[in-house]
Parts: sequence; structure tokens; C-alpha cells
Amino acid sequence: MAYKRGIRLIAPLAVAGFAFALSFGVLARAAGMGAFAPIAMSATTFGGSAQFAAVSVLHDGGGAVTAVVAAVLLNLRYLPIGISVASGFTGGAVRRLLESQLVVDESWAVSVGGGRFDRRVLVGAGGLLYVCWVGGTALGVVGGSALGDPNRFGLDAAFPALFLALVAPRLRELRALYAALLGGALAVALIPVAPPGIPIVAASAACLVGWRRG
Amino acid sequence: MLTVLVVGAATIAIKATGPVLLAGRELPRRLLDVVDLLAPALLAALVVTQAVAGSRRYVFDARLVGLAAAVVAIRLRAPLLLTIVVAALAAAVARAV
Repeated sequence: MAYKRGIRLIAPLAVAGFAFALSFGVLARAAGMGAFAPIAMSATTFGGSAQFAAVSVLHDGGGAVTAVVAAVLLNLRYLPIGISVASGFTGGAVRRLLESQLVVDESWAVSVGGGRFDRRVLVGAGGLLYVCWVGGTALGVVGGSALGDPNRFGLDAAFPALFLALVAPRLRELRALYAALLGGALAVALIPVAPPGIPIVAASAACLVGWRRG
Repeated sequence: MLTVLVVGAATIAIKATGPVLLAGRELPRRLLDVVDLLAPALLAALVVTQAVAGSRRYVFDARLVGLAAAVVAIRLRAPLLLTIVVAALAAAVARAV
């Protein structure tokens, strides 16, 4: 079943997500956010990089506006990501709104991994990640840092490996290869000059290679 | 707390835009061709930013060792799960030595 397939595909990343959520809870508590706000943030924002960015800005004494801008820039990529799968959503507007919240990089990536977007894979994968992410945050807030730095276990390397494994099958197709190369190059070029998050948003422009060659 | 609410509301709106406004619409063929290439472009950008990005600078560390291991695993047609585990292990080992 497609829902189960999503859960199975995302399971190893859900473990990593849980570990990162734990450290987010610990960090947010240390940044003086209290116990409830970090959990509320994980439940509504549900985007690791944006949450870490906002909390580190607050932790370093930056203003609330700076924290909001940093987080929103990081999550701006969900606009093109959402558009890329929009046609695969079904049902009423409320249902589409709720299901769209389960889109994070990892759940989206496995749901388009087969070449065709499957919203059931997205819901299965995103649902498991959501539970792990919010649960991990809550545990981190109350339980502290028993686990230590998740990167010690190489968990940060699991993410680029996932995305590479998912884009690899499409690289045999010439147009997709061009789009991937251009998107990757745009992102690399912008890393040192643009705020975090923007390189990924800008890379979506690479899909325009499909316009001329369509 | 206000910061949390603003970021949460903005993110919900950003994520919902495509699926709520564009679902079930007939998009022109050429536009579909373009949208179809969003996935490889964004995935490639995620690969490189997750592998070498710091905050506004390049950081070359054990993640690259993990990514190299993933390339080998993918070429050997390893399943997704194995590829991810191999990458994490390789990075953990590189960090430990």
C-alpha cells in the first residue's frame, strides 16, 4: 500500500529526524524559549532548518524580526516544492491544506522518487516524520541532551545521501540532467552570497530549461 | 512566542499555496514540462546545500565523505535505506578518526 510504502521509505530518516528534533528541543530551551513555544513551533512550522535558524538567531541575541525573516527565507522553497506536486493533491481545500503541511524536503523527495508524485506516499512519510519531529522536540525540551550531538553518528550526511539517491534515477533523462546540473550549480554559486535558504529557492529557476526544450 | 506564531503561520501559507490553489487545474503542457523539472533542480540544490553549506560559506567536512560513499552505493544499485546508512556510517567513521 502506498501509505505504508511512504512510512517504510522514510523510516531511517525518521530516526535521524527524531534525533535532530531532540537537539532542537534542547537548543530552544537553552535559548530561553520556554517549554511550550518550541513544541508549538515544531507543530506549526515543521521544518528543521528554519526552526534551527530562528532559534539560533534568538539565542545569539538577534531580534524577533531577524529570526522571522531567516526562518521564512529558509521555508520559501516550499513554494516551488508545493507547486511541483500541486496537481497530485485531491479532495477539498481543507484536506489539501492539511496534507500540504506534511510536505518537508524528505517526505516530498520520497513521494516524487518514483518519477511520479504519489500523495499517499507523501502522507505516510510526512505523517511519520511529523510525529517523530514533534515528539522528539517535546522530549528534548523536557529531557535534555542525553543523546549528544547527532552529527557524531553521521546523521547530517544521511540527508544529502537521501536526496542524491532520489535524484539519481532521473539523471538518465537528458532534460532532468540539465535541470539538476543547473540547479546544483546555482545553489553552489549562491551559498556564500545569499542568506541560507535562498540558494535552494533560486535553484528552482533551473526548471526553465524545460521551457525551450519542451 | 509571537515569533513562533508568525513563522508558523507564514510556513503554513507557503506550503499550502501550490496544493490549495493549483490542485486539479489543467495546466498548459509547456508549463507542466517546466514544473516536472522542478524536482530534479530542487533535489540537486538540496544535495549540494546539505553537503557543503554553512551559513553563507562553504564547509567541507565529513558530510562529503558520506556523500562519496553514497555515490558508490548508488552506482552499485544499493537500495535507498542501505545508501543512507552507508553514508551516515562513512561520515561517522571519518569524524571519529
